[in-house]
Amino acid sequence: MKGIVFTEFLEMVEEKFGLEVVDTIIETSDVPSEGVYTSIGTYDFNEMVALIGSLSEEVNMDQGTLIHAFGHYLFSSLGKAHPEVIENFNNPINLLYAIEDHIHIHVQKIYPEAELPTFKILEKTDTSISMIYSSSRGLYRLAHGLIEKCFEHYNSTASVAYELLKADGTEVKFDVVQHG
Amino acid sequence: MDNKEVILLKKALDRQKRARKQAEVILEAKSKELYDTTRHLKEVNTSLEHLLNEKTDELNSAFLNIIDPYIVMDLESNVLSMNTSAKEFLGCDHNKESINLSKMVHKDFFEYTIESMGSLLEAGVLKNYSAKITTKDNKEKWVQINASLIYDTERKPIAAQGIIRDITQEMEIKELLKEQKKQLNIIVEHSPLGILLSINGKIIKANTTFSSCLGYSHIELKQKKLDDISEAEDIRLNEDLTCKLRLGALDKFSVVRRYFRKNGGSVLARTMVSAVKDSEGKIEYEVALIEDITKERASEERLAAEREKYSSIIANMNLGLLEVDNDDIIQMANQSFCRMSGYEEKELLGTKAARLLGKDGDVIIEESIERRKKGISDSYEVALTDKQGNKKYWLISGAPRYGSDKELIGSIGIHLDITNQKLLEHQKEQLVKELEHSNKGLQDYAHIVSHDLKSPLRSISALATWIQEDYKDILDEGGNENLNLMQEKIASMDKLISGILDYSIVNSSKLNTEKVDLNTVVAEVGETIFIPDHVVLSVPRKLPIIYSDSTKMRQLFQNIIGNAVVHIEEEKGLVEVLYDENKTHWLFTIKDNGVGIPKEYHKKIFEIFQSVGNNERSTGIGLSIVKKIVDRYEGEVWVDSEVGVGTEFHFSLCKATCSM
Repeated sequence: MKGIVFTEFLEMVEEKFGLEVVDTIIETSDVPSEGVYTSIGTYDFNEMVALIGSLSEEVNMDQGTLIHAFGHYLFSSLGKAHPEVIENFNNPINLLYAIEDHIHIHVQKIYPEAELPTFKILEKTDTSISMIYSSSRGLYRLAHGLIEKCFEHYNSTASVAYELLKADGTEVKFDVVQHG
Repeated sequence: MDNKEVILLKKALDRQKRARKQAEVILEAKSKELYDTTRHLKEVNTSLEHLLNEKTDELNSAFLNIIDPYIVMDLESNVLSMNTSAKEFLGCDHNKESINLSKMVHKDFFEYTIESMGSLLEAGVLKNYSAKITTKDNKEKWVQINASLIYDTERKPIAAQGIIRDITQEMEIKELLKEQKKQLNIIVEHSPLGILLSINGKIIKANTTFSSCLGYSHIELKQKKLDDISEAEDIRLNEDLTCKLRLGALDKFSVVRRYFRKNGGSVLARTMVSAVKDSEGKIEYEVALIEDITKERASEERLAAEREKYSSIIANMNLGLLEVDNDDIIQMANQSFCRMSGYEEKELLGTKAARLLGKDGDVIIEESIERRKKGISDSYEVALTDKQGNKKYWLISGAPRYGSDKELIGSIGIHLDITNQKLLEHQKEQLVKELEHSNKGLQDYAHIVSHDLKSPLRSISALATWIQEDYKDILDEGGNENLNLMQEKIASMDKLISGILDYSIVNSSKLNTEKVDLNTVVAEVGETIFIPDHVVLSVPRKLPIIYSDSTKMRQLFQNIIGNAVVHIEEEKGLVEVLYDENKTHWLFTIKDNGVGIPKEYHKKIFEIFQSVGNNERSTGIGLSIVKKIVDRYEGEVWVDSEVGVGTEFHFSLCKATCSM
């Protein structure tokens, strides 16, 4: 998993819960990297699983909610890091529509080793889009948060419904309808 | 800050340091990786550049060294680069001035050039673009250009390169060929001969003379073989010659073929076939020249028939024919000539014709040769002796004989044997001479006789008068009566002698021709002759004026009228002079109501010394003079008469004789 996800995650934890919690979850999860991450590095996904698990216990919140919140946070930080990607699109639906064929291709250029989820488009209109998220990581709530924040970025709202096609969350169908 | 917080911060800081170091390691590794890649790329680039340069150099030098002009231009036709040859060819240098090729194109080729540029841009290549250009040094040239596009790395066309070929000479030759072809076509199309091009007998092309002669269109002819529309007169000969031609043993041959017209009928034509060979000696075409000889053949046949006809005429005619050369040597003699001369043909040939004429021959022949040289034909008579020594007379008609180039090659003579005529002529001349002589004697005799007779007669008359006067007292009535009778007989005798004299000269005396008014003649006759009182002479219709001898006319009218007036016993006598005319003759009638002439005398009266009855006043000569005069004027005289009713004397005079 890309380093940026770890660094942004710890940033969020620090921001929301304080440096002590950061230290605690690093200490408790006992990850091989010892909590040392750089955004340009690549780390084992299991470290993320362990960190999220530790945070959940520490702050007594369920993992899904935490991941969903991280999604919101991550969209903003990614937007700051790569504003040109968002500027290329004039509405959120088009951005979502282009993830697989456009954005991910550019990601792959910089990080050839990145393992990215796939978004298969089922249906698209001017105000709605249906797609299937599939990833061995099962981080569909992260995707959920990212989608919601995306609409927020374009000063819009949307109802984002999801349906687990596989119980472990490795395949999830999203139905997004834009409001205004 | 409490201790715990410090520891936390220290730990966080430591993590940040380590993360930074980690990032630095990653970046260094990335950096090195990038450096290596760059260096590798540079190497590859350099080697590629070398390769490219080499190729470019190769190309440049190749293009610079090629003879044909080579040019690189941008897409607006501005020259970017050109080799020496191009500079020389176009008379300009792109290094010294900017050159736009489209401005050199001749205006007739603008549109074509634009089209060509379009197809170059579309297809990337342009082949055999040909146009006329005007170079910078103002020369007109024909160029042929093969061009291709040059692309940048993005496959965008940026320029075009082309090789120019100077085809000015080629075009000139082409033009010349075209012109020559045109001229050739004119000759072929206007040739009076049919011209045919064929391959193995199959017609490829025919000229108009040929196609219109046979009535086939050019297209129809192209589907035919020569044998489909014609056949050789001598098929075997034609096959033999055709075979030889195709085997190369002959270059050309000539046969006579009969060509069949599309609409029936045929033409006989001399056909000269020649082989047109390629550089390897293989026959490419056969050319046939076809000359219509139908008429020629017909006239040849006619000529042969004529020749046949005339040679048989010449051989069989009764005229001797002789041909001699300029030296008078006999070349030909026909059968008649041999017969006429008594010599055999073989004796005559090669000898001098003059020899036949004896010692005078040379002179005669020399003269005639002189005349032949002037192209004069003539005829002359010669006397000669034949082989048997008989004397002969020939009439020769000579004419110059010309050769095929109109040069005098001798003369031709036609000989007519006139020996018999000549002898007859001699006899006739003799007879005429004798006749003239005896005629003269006879006339002189008549003249002399009548003169000699008249003078004793006048003496007798004088003597009788003297007796009557001197002895009138002694003579009784009977004596006087007898002397009177004697005087009358003397007068009658005198008249008779005068008549004979007239008669003898009427035939021989010359006829004068003068304008004679017959009215005057008749009036004078009326005054001269004795007309009894009871007789009237009348001319109801005015008589004509004719050209004749006035004395003869007077004799004519006087004799007839004189006869008429004295033989009337009616109480009132009438003698009328009537006249009429037809185309050829004047017709006169002297009509009386006299005693008439018995039928048996109607012919007799015109003979000399014949008169009707026993009239003392008639000598029987008058009407015979009438007959003679009418004869001399080519007329006729006859009589219609009935005894007791009257007599009509008719005579005619020929107008032609009268006007002479």
